[in-house]
Amino acid sequence: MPDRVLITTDDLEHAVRVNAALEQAGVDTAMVSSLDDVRQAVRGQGAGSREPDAIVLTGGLHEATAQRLLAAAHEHAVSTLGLVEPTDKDPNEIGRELGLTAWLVKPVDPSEVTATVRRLIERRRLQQRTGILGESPPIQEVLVKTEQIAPVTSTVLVEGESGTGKELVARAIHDLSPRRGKAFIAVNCAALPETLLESELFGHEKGSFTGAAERRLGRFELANGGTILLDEVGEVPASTQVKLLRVLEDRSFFRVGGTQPIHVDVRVIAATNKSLKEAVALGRFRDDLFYRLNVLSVYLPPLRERRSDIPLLVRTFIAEFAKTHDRNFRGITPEALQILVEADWPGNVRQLKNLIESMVVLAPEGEIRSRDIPPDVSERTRRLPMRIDNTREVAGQELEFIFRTLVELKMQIEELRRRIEERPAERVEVIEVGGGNRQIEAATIDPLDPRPEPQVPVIYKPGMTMSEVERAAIDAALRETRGNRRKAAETLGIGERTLYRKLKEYAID
Amino acid sequence: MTRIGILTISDLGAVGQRADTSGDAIIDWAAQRGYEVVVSSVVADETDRIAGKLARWADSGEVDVVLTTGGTGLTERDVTPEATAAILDREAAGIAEALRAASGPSFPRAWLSRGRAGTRGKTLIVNLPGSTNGVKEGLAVLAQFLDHAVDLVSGANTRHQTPDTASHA
Repeated sequence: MPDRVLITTDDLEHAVRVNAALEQAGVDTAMVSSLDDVRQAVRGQGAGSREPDAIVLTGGLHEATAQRLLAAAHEHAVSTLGLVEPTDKDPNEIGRELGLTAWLVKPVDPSEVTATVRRLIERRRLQQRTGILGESPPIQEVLVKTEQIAPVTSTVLVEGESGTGKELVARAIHDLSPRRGKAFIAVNCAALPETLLESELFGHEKGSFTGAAERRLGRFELANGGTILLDEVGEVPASTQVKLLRVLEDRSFFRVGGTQPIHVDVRVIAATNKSLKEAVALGRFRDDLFYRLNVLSVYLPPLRERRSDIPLLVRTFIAEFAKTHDRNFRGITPEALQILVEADWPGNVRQLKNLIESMVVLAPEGEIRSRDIPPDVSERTRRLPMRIDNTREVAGQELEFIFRTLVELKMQIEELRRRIEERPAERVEVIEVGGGNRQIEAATIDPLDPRPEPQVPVIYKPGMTMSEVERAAIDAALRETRGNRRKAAETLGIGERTLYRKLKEYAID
Repeated sequence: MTRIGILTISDLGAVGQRADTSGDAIIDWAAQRGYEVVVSSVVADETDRIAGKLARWADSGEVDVVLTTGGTGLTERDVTPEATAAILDREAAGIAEALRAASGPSFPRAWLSRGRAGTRGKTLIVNLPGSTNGVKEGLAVLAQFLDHAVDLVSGANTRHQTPDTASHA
């Protein structure tokens, strides 16, 4: 079945050209005017028959009809491409504000529109296949990253709160990679006790410990040729972290109780619901392992940062569970939906999905109403202050806050230190001495190549001691005066004898 | 004789605050069917404790079937399915579905049980719900195919030197 694209006729000239280009590319197109019932068109009813795969909005983006169309598209998970006027301020801002999936600035090349539409449709298929649902910019960004990351073999770190869909992303990366036909093995590192984790990952030989009745292959061996997901990698104890590091470095390990190294070809995807950087700063996670895991990374936003996706998720889950449980279910009332949109969702999409399932099974009316939503969800909305149950809780929260702040401070200091150590060239001040007509200016100088420039700079690098600065100043003065010590002493405002003493002290010829 | 392990998952049970009536129901059922209960234990709703017990029992080679009861619901403390999934070699989703389907039509809440089933090495592991009624209904379903499943699991492994090398995907 050919892809189907709706084109709005607000900018008729663009619409006609885009229509021709898409038709030529084999796309089934339909032009819709703002006078038509656009919502019906998006739903695939009326004139245009089936639901479109994408909509191209050629103009009038700021008008009410476009807003209605966009809202309908959002709800039905239809991608939108907006053609932005060149007179508009910042196209990226407009695109995000309006909730467009993609945007191009006019005048556009029709072939560019075709290429963009194709990309959007492919991404939609990817969403349907992987279950990573949502139209919001942050989730679309996740999809773009997933597509980019998939084909290579580098290690990936997937970060996000629990319930945001880290395993879905890991599976999508595997399914889009050349390893797709091979094993995908997920290990939940937090679910296993320390002693068991190692033998689960690397396997064990018969009799290697009490109760090891047979040889067992580890997950790394089972994943050979494919992908392994190390979920909750932040929970891996220190002793196992060392072994993971070795696997990442040379793709080999020993079974517990084994003497032969086992070599495997495995792509590693690690996932974590807490900040590994923070764990590194606290000394709970090895920094070398962190850098090995964090070669490529994907960040999954919490649900409360993409509330605009909630209606789509709710409708999708209702339809899914109504089918699974064979219930004749009408849907959700607007009031109930509003409560869900505004809820806090500490457990993210998983929490929402579980809740929808229980409501679909238990809601008596065949419809989710406000009163069906349990109070722990409806009362924890962003508009209400947090319920505080007792004073002990407050103390705990305060301590937690103070602790987090301290950790953040520590991380910032470490980051500063790292930057200073890594790139001393960035903040070097060059102060010119002598030559009254020269001005003080700042410039960037490569400290590894301190060419004596004609201006004779004195270089101050972070970490220099006073005597090093002094020595640099004397050097500069001598170069400026071409080795004339009397003049140099004058320039520096010190006596000639003092200069001689300092020259000796610093062993300057 | 089929050797059974029973793991009751209950925060209150683990500290002796609640009688293990579901576990007792499994013991009675096993006795009726002539199975030998070789090990039983009560643990709190902690993923690593549950996973640790299940793996140790399965790897010991001394248990053919492990039946768990409790911790399969939708609340935050319910982690039995996650702990079980963490140590399974292969899922047997049909068993879990059969258990839900047995109770669901008359008791809709049964659909919310997230229990799983599958094999680790030569051991079959099945999550039963926490309620005594749920356990009884689940066992009635299990009885229809448990002996055959046990034969398959142990038989399959006599032909392979190493436990299951098949994909988990």
